[in-house]
Amino acid sequence: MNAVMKKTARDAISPAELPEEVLIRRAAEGDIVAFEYLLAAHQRRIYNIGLRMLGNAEDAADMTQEVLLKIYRSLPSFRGDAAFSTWVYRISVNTCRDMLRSAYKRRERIFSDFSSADDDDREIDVADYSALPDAQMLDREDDRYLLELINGLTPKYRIVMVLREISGLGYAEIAESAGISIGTVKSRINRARAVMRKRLLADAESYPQAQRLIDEGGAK
Amino acid sequence: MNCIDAEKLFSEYIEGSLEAGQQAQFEQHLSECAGCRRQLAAERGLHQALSTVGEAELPEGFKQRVHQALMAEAAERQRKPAAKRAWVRIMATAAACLVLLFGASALLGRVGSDTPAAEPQAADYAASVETYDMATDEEMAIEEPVMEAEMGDGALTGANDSRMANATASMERKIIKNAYISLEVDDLNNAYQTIEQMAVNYGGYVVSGNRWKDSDGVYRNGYIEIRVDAEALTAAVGELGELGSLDSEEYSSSDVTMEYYDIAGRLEQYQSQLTRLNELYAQATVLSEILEIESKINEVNINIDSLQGMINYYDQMTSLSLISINLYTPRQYTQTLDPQGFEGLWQDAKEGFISGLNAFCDFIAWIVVGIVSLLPFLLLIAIAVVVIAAIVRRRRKRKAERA
Repeated sequence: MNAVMKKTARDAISPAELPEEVLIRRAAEGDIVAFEYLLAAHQRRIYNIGLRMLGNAEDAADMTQEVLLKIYRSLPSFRGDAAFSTWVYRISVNTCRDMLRSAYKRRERIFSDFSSADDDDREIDVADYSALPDAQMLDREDDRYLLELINGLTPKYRIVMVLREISGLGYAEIAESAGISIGTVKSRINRARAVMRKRLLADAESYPQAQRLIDEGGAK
Repeated sequence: MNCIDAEKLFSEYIEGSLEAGQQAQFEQHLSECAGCRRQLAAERGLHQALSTVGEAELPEGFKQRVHQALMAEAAERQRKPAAKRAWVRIMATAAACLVLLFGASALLGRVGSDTPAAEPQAADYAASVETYDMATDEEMAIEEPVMEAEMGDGALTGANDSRMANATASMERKIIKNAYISLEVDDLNNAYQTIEQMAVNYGGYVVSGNRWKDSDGVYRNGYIEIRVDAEALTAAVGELGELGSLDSEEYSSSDVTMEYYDIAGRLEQYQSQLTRLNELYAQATVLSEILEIESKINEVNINIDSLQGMINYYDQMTSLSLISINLYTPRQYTQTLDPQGFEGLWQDAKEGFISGLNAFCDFIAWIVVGIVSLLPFLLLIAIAVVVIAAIVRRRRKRKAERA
């Protein structure tokens, strides 16, 4: 017996208090508890990206689970070139893209198109998935309208809007997550906003809610 | 500034990222144009409302669902350790080299049916395995001191949950201990069977096993993973060492005490919650209450199941240590000096030179035939080039005249 037992002084400490890089390393070794603590802060954001991109809670939950498993599998190869969060978003965006692509192949419509939703009974009730308290009923109606506006965009415009407005990411982070240049991010955001604005103005004539949003924007 | 220019600046204006000069011009246009004011109001209204939409909560039971999927993934990984995957890659590379070698010799017109080709492959293979071992050693060496520095004795006082800290001090420590050894044995088959029996004797079992035959039909390499009672880990490694000569042994341990009692604590909380709910359930009389308590009990039960699953997983990991054993036999030296190869060497060399010369002539002939048969096409291409050149020249001339 020439080998000495290697001592690892891992004293008791709650995983939540460990620095991110330690959690990453432990998770990369396969430690599920470390992994769950590591992703606790990101899960909800991944789910929301999925929810807005895919348009329904079931697909979003499937997508989130797939993203988490992908991260768990590829953590050993995470080199830390980008921030961990950016890496997480990139995997999320790619997974959404794959799911949308395969859904398109199956010729399934998994997201609703607001402009032609009137006679479509398969319209997806997006806001139902957000568990908001009753006191916020009014806001909830607004949310629903807004999310349907976003759903009306094509996926490549929708993803930059979701990352910018809902997830609140900066331009550089969006560029890295979506794998496009900052210039492209800017021009897509401009275009997406213009499309949504035109729909809002068109809806304002028949829809008081839309008019109220414009009034609020004018009041500054 | 006109309306079209102004529209391009909406987004930046709203986000406040316009330059001062541009902003002044933009605002000047706004004060004169009611249409743009309304457009901008719509875009700003959208931006304001969207940034307050907020994120939806994760669906109920989602964390448990992901947890189960992760456990399955971890179990799968346990079954296919990285080492084995690396071996497969090495084998594939060796096989590719072999194909190349045979291909080359076949090309030379002398297909080698003799075994020397297999010998360098085995040597390469052993060398690759050695590099792999060294790599893991290095990784460990870099990693461990970092862990020590980060989680030294002082870290314990940093934990704000003193209840948990006290609890762990008085409770049994939960440590996952694993070992990795490399063993040279004379009879691989025999060693393999002995190890299988040993796993059982030490209160464990075989997790996975693999052995490979060499070209002579004898097992020369193997990889086996066993679990043994954690208490008996060093004894088991000692006994394994007696099977042959122990080339390397490595231990790793990771302390999961905190995680373990964190889960155990949560489990306890859910269990006491379940008792309370059951009491309430017994007293409930109104249907709506009964239904509500029932769904609560269900939810608590799911949590208990999932936490219990984690506890079981850790119990198994800490009570049974994993030993990964890399087995191999000494290299066989079967080659004796045999000058038969020299017989007829001159004749063979002459034959080889002639056949090479023939092949060279064939090649030259093939090139000549090829070029000649391409001639008609070359002619066609030449005509096309001449025509295009003429057109281009004429165009240029015309442009020059116009200028």
